[in-house]
Amino acid sequence: MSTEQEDPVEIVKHKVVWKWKFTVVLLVNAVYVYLMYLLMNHFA
Amino acid sequence: MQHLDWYILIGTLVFIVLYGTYKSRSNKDVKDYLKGGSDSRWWTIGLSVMATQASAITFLSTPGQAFHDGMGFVQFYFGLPIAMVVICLVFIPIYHRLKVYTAYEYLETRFDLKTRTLTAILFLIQRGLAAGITIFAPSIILSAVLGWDLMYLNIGIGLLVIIYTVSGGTKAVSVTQKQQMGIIFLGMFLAFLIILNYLPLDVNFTKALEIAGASGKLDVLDFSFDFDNKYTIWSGLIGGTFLALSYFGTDQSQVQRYLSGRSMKEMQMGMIFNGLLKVPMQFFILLVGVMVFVFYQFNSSPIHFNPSAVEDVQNSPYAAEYAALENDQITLEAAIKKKQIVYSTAEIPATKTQLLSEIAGLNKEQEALRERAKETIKKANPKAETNDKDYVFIHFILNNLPTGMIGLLLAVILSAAMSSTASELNALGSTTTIDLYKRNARGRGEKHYVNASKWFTLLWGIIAICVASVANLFENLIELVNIIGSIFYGNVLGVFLLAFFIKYVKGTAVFIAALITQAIIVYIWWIDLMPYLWLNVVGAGIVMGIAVLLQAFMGNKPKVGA
Repeated sequence: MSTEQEDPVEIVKHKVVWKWKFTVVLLVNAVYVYLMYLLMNHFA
Repeated sequence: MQHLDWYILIGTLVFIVLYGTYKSRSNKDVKDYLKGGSDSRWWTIGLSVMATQASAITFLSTPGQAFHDGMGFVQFYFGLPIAMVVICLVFIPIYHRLKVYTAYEYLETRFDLKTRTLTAILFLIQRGLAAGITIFAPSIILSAVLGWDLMYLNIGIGLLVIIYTVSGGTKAVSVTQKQQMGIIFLGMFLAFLIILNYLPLDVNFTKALEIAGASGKLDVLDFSFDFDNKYTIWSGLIGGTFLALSYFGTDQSQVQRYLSGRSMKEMQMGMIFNGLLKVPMQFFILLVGVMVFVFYQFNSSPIHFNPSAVEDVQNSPYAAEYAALENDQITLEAAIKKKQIVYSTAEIPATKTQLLSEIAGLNKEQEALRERAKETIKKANPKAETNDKDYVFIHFILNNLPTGMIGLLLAVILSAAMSSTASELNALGSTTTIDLYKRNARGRGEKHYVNASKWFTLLWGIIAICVASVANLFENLIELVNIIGSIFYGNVLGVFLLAFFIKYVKGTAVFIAALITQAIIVYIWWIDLMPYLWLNVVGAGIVMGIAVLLQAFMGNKPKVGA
């Protein structure tokens, strides 16, 4: 394990950076769900 | 099964085992053995994470779930992409910075040794049981439909996995999982195409969806707030997020997959890959089950798919009653088929609507008939498992697919079993070595700890085979595995959330809270107070609440050591 003096969790938390790929994952899945709903609803 | 099926099945399994063992033949130190040398690329991580989660239960049980209940189960996975993002943002950076081998190592620094040990033990219990079920589930089903000896199947699957997992460690697991996922994708895709090909010429994919939709198989989203309904969008988004967060963030069988990444970026991309593919993959597997339903609108199906249960009732005083139900089934299926054939050539919308409504009514009658068959089976043998969802797809495979495809689909099922079991054994061995053995028996050389890891992995393999040998099938297998997870996961997730976000809570408060919470959750499950998905949320909430209260009561005493 790391022997850093600082709390690594605090360091990580201060450096949390939102990246575009996270937005892509959430958006793409929202699109999946919406398309699923449209497709299935059309035939349900 | 024909010779070709055997060649494909055995050839696939042997290739996987030999390839995995060969590619991972040198392990110099613990980092090599438990982290695969920290060398994996994102696609290996992503496939590995998917292969770990998708066991044989996914492919045996999920299509059957869709056959009976429709597409609603896909909602269970809606929380997964959210969990992937949180894990990329919080868990992976922390684990990477700390260079841990297991998820529980961190807890000793943050809290104390007893908390680390407790969470490691909770993981070992939960995953040890799950590893046994991962072997047992395909074994019991294949045993029932193929007549193979259950004990030999348990031992056979277990031994194949033990060979390459013990010898090659994490790298062997990751390497073989790439092959296994390839076989799985290929097999399921071909099965889907073949089912569509088997439908009458006038029934294309669109018409197949209309037929399924008329019988309520395509209701994919449930926005109701019915707490007793297991699968709604709310339980999927909330309960599913917590379940996925705990499973992928704190369960060593998954954590170990991405800790083998060569960099934090590769680890995150692997999880993103999983987040992008998981929902459509599950949707597709469910859709295969729906297509099986459509197939059986034009072809005969058994009134009950579990051959063992059917054999019980046929050898009982209720055989005549059951035979009468089977005759009713034949008559009903003939009526359904006749209407479906007329529907497939109908052009006028009003006629089509009328026919669909009549077909839906007949399918409802068939569902009622299947329920009566289950009641008769229960009368013949009160201990019989009447839920036959796990047998639908395997029955379809064995009775309808062409030679060669049967062998391939069996290879899919066994590959899925092996990929999950391998990850589980690898993780069980790692946690036992790092969190229990090495923590208490320090100062030995790297070679010693690598050997210890191998022996512990072997030991857990044997334990898993033993658990498989005494396990009993109840309810639905894919639910059983998730129920076991949900009983433990919420508690462990709550401990990690306390560790990350609530600084003033210390080790003793967390330790006591975790013990109390585990007892409460087991009790809640026992009295069936709520659908199991909510146990994850409740468990996390309870442990955090109790820990905060306990710490407030205990005050801010200095840490006195482990």
